[in-house]
Amino acid sequence: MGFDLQPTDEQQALKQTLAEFAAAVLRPAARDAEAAGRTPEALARQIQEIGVAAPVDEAYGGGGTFDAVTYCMAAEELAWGDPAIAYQALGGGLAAVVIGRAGTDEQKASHLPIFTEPAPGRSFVAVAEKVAAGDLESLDTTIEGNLVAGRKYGVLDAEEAQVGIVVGRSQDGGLAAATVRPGCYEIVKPEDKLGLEAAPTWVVDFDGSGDALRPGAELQQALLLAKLMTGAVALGCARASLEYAANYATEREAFGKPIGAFQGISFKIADMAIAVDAARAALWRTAWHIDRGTATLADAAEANGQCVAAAVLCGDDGVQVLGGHGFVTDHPSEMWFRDAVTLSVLDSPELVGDVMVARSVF
Amino acid sequence: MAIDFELDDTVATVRDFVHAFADQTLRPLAREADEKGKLPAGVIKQLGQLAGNRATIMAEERVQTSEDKKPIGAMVGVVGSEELAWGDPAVLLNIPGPGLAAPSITAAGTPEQKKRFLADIFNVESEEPRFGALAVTEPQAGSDVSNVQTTAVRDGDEWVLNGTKVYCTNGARADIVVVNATLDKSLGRAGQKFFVIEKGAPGFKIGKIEKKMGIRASETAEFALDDCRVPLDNILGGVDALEAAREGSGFKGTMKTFDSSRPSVAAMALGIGRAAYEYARDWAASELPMSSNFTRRNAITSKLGTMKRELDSARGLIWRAAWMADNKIPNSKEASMSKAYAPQAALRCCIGAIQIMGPEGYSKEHLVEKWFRDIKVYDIFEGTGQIQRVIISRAILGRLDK
Repeated sequence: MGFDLQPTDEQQALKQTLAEFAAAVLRPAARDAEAAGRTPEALARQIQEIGVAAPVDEAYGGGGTFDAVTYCMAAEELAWGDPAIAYQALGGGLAAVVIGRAGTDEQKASHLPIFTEPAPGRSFVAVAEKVAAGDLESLDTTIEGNLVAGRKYGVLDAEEAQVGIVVGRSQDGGLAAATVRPGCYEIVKPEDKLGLEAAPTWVVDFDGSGDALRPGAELQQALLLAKLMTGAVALGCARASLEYAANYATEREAFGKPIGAFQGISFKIADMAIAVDAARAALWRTAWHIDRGTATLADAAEANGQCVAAAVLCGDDGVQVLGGHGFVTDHPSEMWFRDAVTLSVLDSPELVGDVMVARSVF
Repeated sequence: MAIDFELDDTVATVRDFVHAFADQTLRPLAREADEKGKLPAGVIKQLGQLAGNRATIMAEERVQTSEDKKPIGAMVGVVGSEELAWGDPAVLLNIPGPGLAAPSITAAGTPEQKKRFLADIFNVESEEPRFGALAVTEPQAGSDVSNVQTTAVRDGDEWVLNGTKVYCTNGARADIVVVNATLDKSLGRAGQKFFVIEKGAPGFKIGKIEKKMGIRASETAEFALDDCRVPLDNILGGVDALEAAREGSGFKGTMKTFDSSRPSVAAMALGIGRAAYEYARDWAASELPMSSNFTRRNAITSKLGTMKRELDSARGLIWRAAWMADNKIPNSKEASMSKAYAPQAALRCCIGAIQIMGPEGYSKEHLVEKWFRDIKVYDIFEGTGQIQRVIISRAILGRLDK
């Protein structure tokens, strides 16, 4: 008991495994996946085998689930390899996380087996709307009984998804969610977007009957964890930008010295590192609260806001430190910057996160 | 061991106790102390009695272990510092105790010196308040500690010190002042050592007391060392340190001092920022009903959210640095991260609070204008934000400028 930041041995081992996988497999695959607009099937199967993207309880044929802190650690490591591939893998398994935590036995039995196949299950958790992207308290989508109605943006893998979760408001205005199967929604168009290009998303109209998840504390905590996945990916993205720029700053020379010897560069590196570490503390704190069932929307908004702020800062300065080399696609920095700004649509600190934080105090 | 964000019971108890003290005792003194530039002697005496005349940040005295024997001294330090500064940062510096003399003596002193300069002077029931001080900065040497010009020369059984020190908190009234001086200029910072000057030492001449933007109730003194003589035993680490200085370990003592004090100073900055944030939040809640100007209300809402997010982030960095210190994990980079981030975040909070409150924000009827004046120095003393970034980037990039 008492404040402690030491991961367990199991967590350390998992981080280590994922870090090696991210460096050896994800990083080299990133540009091809971006060009293809999706993660190659073989790579998706490889990620599925690791078992962190779509964790399913042993009772339902899976390899076991993770606490929220461990899940966030895993997501950061995968996203460090490539934010877009990580976002597709984690986003594709997110419905398993939510149903596993908040579903009834019947819902679990009905949906979880999708995620235990060698081929990764395709699913989505649809939150973002045209105006309220990421703001769980301002959603227009209605979930009345089992009836789901509303337009969602950024719906991952909508064309192939076997199951999805739609998040909206119930009749009494409370946070609500329902599982949906293909047939109760209509795909409007694919999103051709700035970043996260390897994670294909669609605009989708929902108008049909789903299967409502039981409202209450379990659902809220599960949806907060789903939200936190975005923050964890942003954190991995931020750290990727930072480390790449720091490494470059020790190698590239100007005026007879490595550019990192100049404070115009080294101070940027310091500020990026501070932002990353501050974001991780916020992320772990909220995840820890989720594990105890005590997280609030404000906690998650704060964590995601800090992670996204770090990703955008590191994305920007990550390009800046490399100068022209950062702007061209020979290096990954420009891709991570675009990924960061794309992620910031979901939880822009100023437009979404901080407003939600303030609502809780004001 | 596992990730845990719950404060240890002992730490939480200290926090609650200190908060009540800050709320009931420090905060009510803030405005008048700022206007007069000092606290009445009687109040300082009272503060000394209330705080046990021992100081809050005296390593030997504070709670060191939790009930289950985990080390928590640094956590107690940062949590307590945040609450005290929340009460009032300038009044806080008037609470009698060894102040920043403590970490330098603890880090560099021999056991005998810790007893003589800390326990014997401060760990006693005394009618008169007692203070300690640390003096590093000189007119020509701030961040560049290696440029310190104060000299120490051995003369028989004494050290003879010559030089000028500035911006020394409590320097004029201190019972002991720790100063760094160079034994051998050719060795640069490796030739520097700390010396303890006791009150009344011959050649210790107090100069002007600074007039400042903020923390006006805190005494910031200049003093000259004019053939100032101290006993041979007053070199921290003992006379044997002479040999160590030749081997180049002199400067590390200075830095070690800062590694343990920086998270506490960052925590004080956090406390000031939190005071401003909470004040503006409560003001807005009572002065801006839902019916009021929509645009301004929304702008204020968003700003308050940003303030809270940044303060919580600062706390995350500070607690991590303290946790590492308690667990004997080298924390130089992390201590600097907390010190680089917290004062700037808190400054943004103070400015934001003034802007949220408008004309009442700049008015001296409220304390937010004072907190703004107080917070600025936190990005300067104990290592400027820029020096922190030098330390952080060197830890990440290595030394590239050789």
